[in-house]
Amino acid sequence: MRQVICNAADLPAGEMLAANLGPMPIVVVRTEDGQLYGVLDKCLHMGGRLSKGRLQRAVDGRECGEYHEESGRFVLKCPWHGYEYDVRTGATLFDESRRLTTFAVREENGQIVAETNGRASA
Amino acid sequence: MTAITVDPATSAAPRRGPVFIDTDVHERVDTTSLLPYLAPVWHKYITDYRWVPDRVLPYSQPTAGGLDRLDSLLPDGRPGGSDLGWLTSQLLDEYNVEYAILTGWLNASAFAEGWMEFKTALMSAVNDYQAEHWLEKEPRLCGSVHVNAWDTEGSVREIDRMAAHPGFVQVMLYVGDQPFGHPRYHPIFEAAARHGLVVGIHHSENSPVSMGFGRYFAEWHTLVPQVFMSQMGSLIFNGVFDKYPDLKVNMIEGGFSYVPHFMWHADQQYRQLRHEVPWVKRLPSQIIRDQIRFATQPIEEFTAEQLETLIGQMESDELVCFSTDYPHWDFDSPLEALPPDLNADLAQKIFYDNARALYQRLPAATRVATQGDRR
Amino acid sequence: MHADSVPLDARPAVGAGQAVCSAGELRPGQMLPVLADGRDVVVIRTPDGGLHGLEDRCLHCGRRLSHGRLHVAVTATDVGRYEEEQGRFVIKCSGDGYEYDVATGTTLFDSARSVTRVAVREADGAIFVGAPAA
Repeated sequence: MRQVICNAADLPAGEMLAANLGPMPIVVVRTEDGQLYGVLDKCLHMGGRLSKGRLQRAVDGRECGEYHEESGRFVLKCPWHGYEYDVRTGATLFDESRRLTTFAVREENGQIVAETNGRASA
Repeated sequence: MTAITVDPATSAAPRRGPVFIDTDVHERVDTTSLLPYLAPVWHKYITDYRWVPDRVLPYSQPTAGGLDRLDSLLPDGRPGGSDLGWLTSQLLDEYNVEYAILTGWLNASAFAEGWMEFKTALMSAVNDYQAEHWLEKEPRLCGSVHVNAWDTEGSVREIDRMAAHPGFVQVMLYVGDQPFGHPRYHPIFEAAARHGLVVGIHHSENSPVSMGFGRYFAEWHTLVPQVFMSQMGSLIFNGVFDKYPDLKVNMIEGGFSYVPHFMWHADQQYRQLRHEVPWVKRLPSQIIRDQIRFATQPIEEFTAEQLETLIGQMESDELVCFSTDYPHWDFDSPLEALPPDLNADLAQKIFYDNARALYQRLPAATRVATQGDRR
Repeated sequence: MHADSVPLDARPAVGAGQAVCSAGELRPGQMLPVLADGRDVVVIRTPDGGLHGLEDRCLHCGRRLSHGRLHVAVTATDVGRYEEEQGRFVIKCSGDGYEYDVATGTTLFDSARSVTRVAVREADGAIFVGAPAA
């Protein structure tokens, strides 16, 4: 399934957009570095709408007390309990095996297009 | 990074999920709105001197929306739970809520004891505001009488005053940092029991755990059940439940997975050390089953088997009552919080029957409560 | 008599219905462990002169009750108000502290849990241990 989501200009870098791909609510993301991603717009935990959460840089730390932003890695943070998902893989930051369905998103002729992803995990 | 929301409005959609009673919903009032309910002598402290509630928690930013669920914040910047219409659409009309029990935001047992007179007056104002702006506008909302526990006489006076209003079903204490079993507080429990009001004891930010707050919110928040165990031990071993056999207490936002452990451990202490607390006449586990209930939120990710085992270890399926904690950040959805394959009778008890049995002052059921569509 | 003053190997060992001591040897407030017809029994003389027999074994920890303490039962009607129950006596186990009403054998924390009572009687200047009481 393939669908036009919006004009490319409607989704600036660093923002996200809630949309439907067929029956599925999805959230389309353009990260600060210009990459496009799409994941299912429903938290695996309690069903919070991720599009109402925050798109942020992933934060890591190697030692107690150390916080550093991971360059080029962005997460969607659920507006409810704050579960964090890597926008690229759909995986939670606390458990690689728990993943949102991801969608292929790209820019074509000035439009943003989303498509079901053959590689998507359930 | 703001969301551009193109969200198809779902306000006209049918309510989703099982019929339930929500035993923890936070309505919020800003202090200036309380001025009409406060004697003039207090006004300047709010309007000019800028009184704000004590704040002792060393972290105030649990997650993306602060204390609130991010999508509960109002467009005008007010915190979640500030607006009846917004609460109605996000909670009461979104899900199948038969009754929601309001648990508030300003409660004197979340503050230190000093300046008792002002805090007692403030609690009366909170109650009057709650009655007028929430309870009398929306019949699905039920009220909690907020009291200043540090002022026992004032608390009893306030309970007697508000018990005349049929919308109140509970007396509200926050778990705080003082054990409420001390005889000083007993008149509060007496007054509540006399009026058929449950005493709700709610999680609060002025509750360090046994070694303090820890360096991180996650440490402290993991150990919140510890404070509830302290409070429950205090009430049981100081004989509150034996003294007031009609009293019912709901432990709210402390979780419930610690309950079997507490029962086993307290029973064993009682068997061995009864001589020290001879005013306690029943095993603690029996006192709990007779007189204490637990709100579910914040619930863990249980499998059906784990949850059924846990309930079995409590030796009663009547102790746990569903709660969402709307609009706070760790809101539990009635669509997702219980395992989908949980025993249907147990789900019905948790969602509905147990709270209905607990809150004697709830109006008679207005519709047949049946287990609705879980999804 | 403090029960510890009777070494176990010096306990009177008697057959069914036999005298375990003379009446004067067990004074008010004393306990006597005996092996009666192969059974461990504690014979208790309460401070008010009552005579009771219980199986000499704690339900929970298995220790001999005769190693514990014989006390007046303590109750309360409100927090902090300790009151002695006149005429009611308990043995408090030396190990886990479980309390047993000497007249009934029942624990003070759970009316469904009791040690077995053993019939004892005083006759002809002696104390006899008989079959377990009904």
